[in-house]
Amino acid sequence: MDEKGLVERLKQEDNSAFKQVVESWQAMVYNTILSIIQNAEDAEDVTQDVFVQVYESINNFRGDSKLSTWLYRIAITKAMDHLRKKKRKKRFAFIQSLFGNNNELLNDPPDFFHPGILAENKENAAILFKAVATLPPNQNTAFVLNKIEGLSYQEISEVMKLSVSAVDSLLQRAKTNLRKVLTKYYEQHV
Amino acid sequence: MERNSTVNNKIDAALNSIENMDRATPSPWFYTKVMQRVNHSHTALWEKLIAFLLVPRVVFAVISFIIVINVFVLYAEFSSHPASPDLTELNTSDEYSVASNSLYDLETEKP
Repeated sequence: MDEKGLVERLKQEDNSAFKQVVESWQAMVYNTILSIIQNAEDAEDVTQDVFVQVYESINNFRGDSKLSTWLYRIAITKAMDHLRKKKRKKRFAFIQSLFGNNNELLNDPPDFFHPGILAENKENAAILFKAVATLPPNQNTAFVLNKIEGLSYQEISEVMKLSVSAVDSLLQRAKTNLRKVLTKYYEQHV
Repeated sequence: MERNSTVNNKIDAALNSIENMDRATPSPWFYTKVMQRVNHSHTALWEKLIAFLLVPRVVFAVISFIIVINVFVLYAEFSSHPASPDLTELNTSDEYSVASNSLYDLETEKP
């Protein structure tokens, strides 16, 4: 795909170019958002928002990164904004947060079953996704991009605008935190 | 010891559960839904503007602003052209008062 040509056509409001972008990248964007938000309905709404933003602000795209990198950035920003809004709503409604000060899995939200997980792994994956939801935003993002989207450290550093060593550090801390959370969970449930 | 081993095995199983997973895809007709939102966001801009202008506080503020502007303009107008007596008017009124005084005098004179 000739990305430069595609971007030029997008800037000229060519709907066929926009259709090509949506069809090429909808799964990538949706999968990323779904893994962060962990709710299929909300993820679909947010994914639509991402492409609407792409349509409206394509003229802001300078072309100094790949289109997919830009899409990832918008997707992650919108997913994190959605999570923050959801948290604020919960606070106002005086419902306890998912996150405890000591990273315990406090209130049990409904289990999230990612549609792409193999059947025999669904239960374990649901527990893992609950643990991932307790991670700080940057670690959550790095984990999703690396383990779920399969991006390399270099690609993640371009998306998150961090150095490769910073990405490495984020992933190490994410794994450590996940182990802590899962250890506490399984010690209570085994 | 055995319990620790069990816990560690479960943790490893959880961490490996996302290996070889497929990407999730959005619902069918996703592009159509996106285009509906794109078109709606363009029309919605006008609706938002009109809705904003019809908010009572905004209406009151606009009317107040118009009144203030008018008062200012009128004040500026009167300040620059103060009311000055017209000499022709003065002469006319003097003659009128003299004439009317004479008429009054005639009427009140006793025969």
